[in-house]
Amino acid sequence: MDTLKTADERIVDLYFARSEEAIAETAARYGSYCKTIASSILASNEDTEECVNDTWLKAWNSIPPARPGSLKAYLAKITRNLAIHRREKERAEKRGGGEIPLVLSELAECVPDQSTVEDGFSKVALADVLNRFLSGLPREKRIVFLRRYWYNASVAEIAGDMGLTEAKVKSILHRLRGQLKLLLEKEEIL
Amino acid sequence: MKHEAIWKSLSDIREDYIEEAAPDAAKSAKVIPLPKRSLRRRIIGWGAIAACIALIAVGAYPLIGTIGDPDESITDDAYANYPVRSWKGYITMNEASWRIFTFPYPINGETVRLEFPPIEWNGETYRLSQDHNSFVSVSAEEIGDVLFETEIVAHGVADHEQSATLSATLSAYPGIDPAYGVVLTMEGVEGAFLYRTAKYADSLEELIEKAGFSEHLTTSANIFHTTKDASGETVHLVFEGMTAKLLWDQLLSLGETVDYHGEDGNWLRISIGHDLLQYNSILCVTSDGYITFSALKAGKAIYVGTEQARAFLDYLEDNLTGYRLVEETESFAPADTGTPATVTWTNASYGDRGTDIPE
Repeated sequence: MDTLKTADERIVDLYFARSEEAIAETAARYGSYCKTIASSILASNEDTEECVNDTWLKAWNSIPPARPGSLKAYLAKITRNLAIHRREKERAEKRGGGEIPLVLSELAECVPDQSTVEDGFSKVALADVLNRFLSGLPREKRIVFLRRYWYNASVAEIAGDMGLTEAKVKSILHRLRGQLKLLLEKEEIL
Repeated sequence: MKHEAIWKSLSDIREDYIEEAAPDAAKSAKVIPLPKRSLRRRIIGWGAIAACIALIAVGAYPLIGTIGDPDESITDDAYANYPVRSWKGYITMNEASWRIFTFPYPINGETVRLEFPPIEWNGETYRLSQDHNSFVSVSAEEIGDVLFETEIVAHGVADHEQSATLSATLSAYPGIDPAYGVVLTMEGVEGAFLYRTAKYADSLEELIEKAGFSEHLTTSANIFHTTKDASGETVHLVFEGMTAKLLWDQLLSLGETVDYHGEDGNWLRISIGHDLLQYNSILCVTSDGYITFSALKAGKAIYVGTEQARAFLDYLEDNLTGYRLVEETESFAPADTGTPATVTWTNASYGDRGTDIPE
């Protein structure tokens, strides 16, 4: 029944078989995708390349026992987290350019007014709230939000990809940030 | 920093959302410029099957909930503290159609929970308007003549044994006949709450005159349209660019209310709102030029004629910014997260128009 498996399922099988073909197949299929994610966060090509390579290593070390339902999203999460971590380590020396400062300044609008720096918060709870926020959005708006704040795409890129005006994209993002802030306030997260 | 925490925590969201928004996948969500005249031919060619276009209440009051708003799926035991001035409270709609707010109130400095039960007055039953933002959409300056006095009970949140009774006043809202809705204010509490009845109008003119319908009509820039093509396949379209003014000028204002008991096929089925009274009414345009509208009494409809109905479809083509085909699985139903529906409620608490109360 191997013919019924998807390409991703066959790649995951390679990981389980501890075949190094798994890395080659993963890189061939998702190298460009993971590079896009890493480069949106990191300042240099070298850092991006290292981050992507680290992604393959981390995938190799975690599969098995993990069997991702979505290999693409599994790798994307690894890459994003690695890139964020690397950016934090190098932020003092190299100011990341691109969209990250803008993205972060926009997300600052979502922090509730009564939030204080000293308050602790639960990362699990925050992720849960974010998932609930996203699940309540129409698909198009969810995509706009995540293209901006997950994939760190520019407003122009988002507008071009989705056939919207830049003004429309900005308007959607502004409104969604307001909605997220309301939800975070209501949930007393942050 | 907390904004960075949000940014980082996005890494832990659902994987299907990550995939959905991937650069190559996102391009499939592209809005297609609307080809001239082709849409009307497609809709008419697809036959008289009820097509659902959802116009979500946005209107002139940006705080009114829109589709996609996070659902206030809060149980009776979940509360939030908000300063009185911001009036952002948890709402729950239990079977008795009570609405429960929590906010700091001076009962020994405790946070209290208010109960807003149905109120009987002048032969009508009033219930707190469904939308959780109704209390901010009415300012003190907008309140009219006092109608009668009542009381609202407040319970302690931390200490359920604590309770207090607040004097409350129901007043008219200028431009809205009290038979449709009134506003409730409480002593010492900033803001006002909308209470409305389940009254249906005899005519569009009555809705305009007594419910301020033309000025309070709300709609959304996006229209979600479900129909079937000639082969019977379900097709979902999302339009952009609809405005309340467009809907009013091009359709609603052009007809007269008549008796109607026909069951002709519907071209378009539109859900529209009233930003104060929180109507979520269904408006249908039939192929023989009638507009049936669920805020009107049964057996009443607005007649605009076939020519005008077709002209409205043409106007959609000419003035909407575009449409796109979406996947059949896309809907406004909640994801399987255990979170109740986030779609705008129909008149769930008003008995005979549906029972879509989220659980």
